[in-house]
Amino acid sequence: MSKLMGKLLLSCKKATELMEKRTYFGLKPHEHVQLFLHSQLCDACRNYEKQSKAIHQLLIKQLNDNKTDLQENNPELKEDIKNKIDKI
Amino acid sequence: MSAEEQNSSTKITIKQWVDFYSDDLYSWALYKTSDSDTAKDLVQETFIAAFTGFDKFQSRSNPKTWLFSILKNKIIDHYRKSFRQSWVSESKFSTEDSFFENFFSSEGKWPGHWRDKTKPRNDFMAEENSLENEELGNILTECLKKLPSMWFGAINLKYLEECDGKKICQELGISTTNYWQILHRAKLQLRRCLETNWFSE
Repeated sequence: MSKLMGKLLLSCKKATELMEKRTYFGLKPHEHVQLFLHSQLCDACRNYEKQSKAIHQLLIKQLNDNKTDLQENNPELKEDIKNKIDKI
Repeated sequence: MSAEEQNSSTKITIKQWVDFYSDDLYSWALYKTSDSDTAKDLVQETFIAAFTGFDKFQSRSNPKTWLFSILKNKIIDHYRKSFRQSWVSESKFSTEDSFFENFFSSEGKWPGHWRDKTKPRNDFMAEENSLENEELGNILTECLKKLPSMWFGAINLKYLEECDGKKICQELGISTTNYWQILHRAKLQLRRCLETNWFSE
């Protein structure tokens, strides 16, 4: 029985790992069940799950943002590149 | 037009593009890599690639869009390279478990349960509009910079390439298990960093 419980009840470390696996690769059916059972019992992991999803969305937004508002002027870089082009 | 004339007219065009677009390209590369030398190198490589591949351009698209797409590939290559380097030098990755000790307790009734001080709080990122929150975005940028370079690279590849994890793993020559385990560590650390900084301000 305790062996069975051990299989059914994940540690929080393993549960959060499966949540990340789900985000990036998807889960096997038994992993879905394990994760569901764990989340029913564990408040902290339910919080983690919500926040992890929000961070995922935030990363999609942020890392695809074509932010160029730093607007640095680089006369030296321009000259360097032009010289390189001339030498090709 | 002779080949030579063609060549020098291409050079003139590319040099005009350097004047028009290099500041934007550099700003973006700096934002993506957080390193000015790397950003300069990548922008330089972008223009050289634009010159050598000029026949592929044929004025069918906006030069700025084309240059940005070349730069994006250069940035992805950069992260792939830096990932592979740290992958080789950090060969202890799979056995090193002290990282998790900060988050999960290995003793007690329920081993692997959250430690009290690192437990995700229920009042963090609770609002629906956290995506629009600029302050949170700024904290995220700072927290990303603090990640070990291999984890930072793993995250960037995933979100820059917009392709599935399996393809990224093939390109990197690592197993999918290794990859999501790295992303797991990065995410744990990132979440913790966001939460800590959010409540300290």
